[in-house]
Amino acid sequence: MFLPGRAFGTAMVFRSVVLWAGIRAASLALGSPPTIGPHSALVLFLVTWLAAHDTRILGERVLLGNLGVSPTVRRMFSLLPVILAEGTLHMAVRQLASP
Amino acid sequence: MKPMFAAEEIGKSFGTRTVLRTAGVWATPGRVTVLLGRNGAGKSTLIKIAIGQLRAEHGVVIYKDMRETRPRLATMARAGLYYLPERGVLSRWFSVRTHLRAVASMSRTPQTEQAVEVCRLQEILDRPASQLSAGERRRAEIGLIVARQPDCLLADEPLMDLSPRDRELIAGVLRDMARQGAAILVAGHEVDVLLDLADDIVWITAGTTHALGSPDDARAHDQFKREYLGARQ
Repeated sequence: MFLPGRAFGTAMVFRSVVLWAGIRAASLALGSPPTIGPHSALVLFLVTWLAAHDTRILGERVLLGNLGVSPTVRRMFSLLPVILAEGTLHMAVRQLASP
Repeated sequence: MKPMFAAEEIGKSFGTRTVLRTAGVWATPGRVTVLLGRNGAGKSTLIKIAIGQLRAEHGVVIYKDMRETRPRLATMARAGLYYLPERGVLSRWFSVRTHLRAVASMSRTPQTEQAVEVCRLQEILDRPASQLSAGERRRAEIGLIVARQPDCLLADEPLMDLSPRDRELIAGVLRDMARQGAAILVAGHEVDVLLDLADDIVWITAGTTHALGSPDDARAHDQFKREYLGARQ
């Protein structure tokens, strides 16, 4: 499995975390609970979709292809940080809520 | 010699418009193959199909021991292929140095210093791609190819919108790579430079490709002269 290298990998993770933070902040403002549920699936879907259509990432598709990074790995770099962030948020809320 | 890369019997339509009927193109080790054709003839489409960016209706792509109806750039890149698209390959967010490092990490024998020297990149090494002029961007992109030392290069319009000096530089780099055994396929319009650079000419017209042979054979081809070269030859 070919990874995108430190600079490009960090940028991809950073972009998806920023996207997640924006979408999560908006969904919390709209009253969605910060725990894992159907809204988490929606957040994941939105972030993955936006990352896939991010012009920055689209512009780098050929470059990453030339670096041997497959589309699946590219998508993983967008999705995995969001899954981790969702999980962390969920655990933090549960911990705060526990007596 | 047997081609290292070949796209065969490729067909592609966009809606009701058929762009490619039965087109084919190839790249042979140690040779520069030049794909010529009018705007909209399907040169870029054929190359995009060859690297999997577009899907063909029929045809097959062969690279080394791979034989694919749905090729993938990443898979072929791991086996030594490099694709230079018409619109460039640099990410505007990263410096030339970061690109060079990433691409050199793919090569067993990276030639980063040679790339910087040959393509005159020293002054722009730490600039992000967004701050480069068109010529500087192209030089940096060619520098990535020099650093990568691919076995096979597919370059779409690498000489477009460049000064004569930069064209000369890039043509020289491509020629040197072929001399070292790389298989090179170049699509473009810059007939004067490309006919000097080429070992083999492929002409694409009416959705079909024609192998015209050497540049001298191409210059002597009546239909090619009449329909593509025009009065210039």
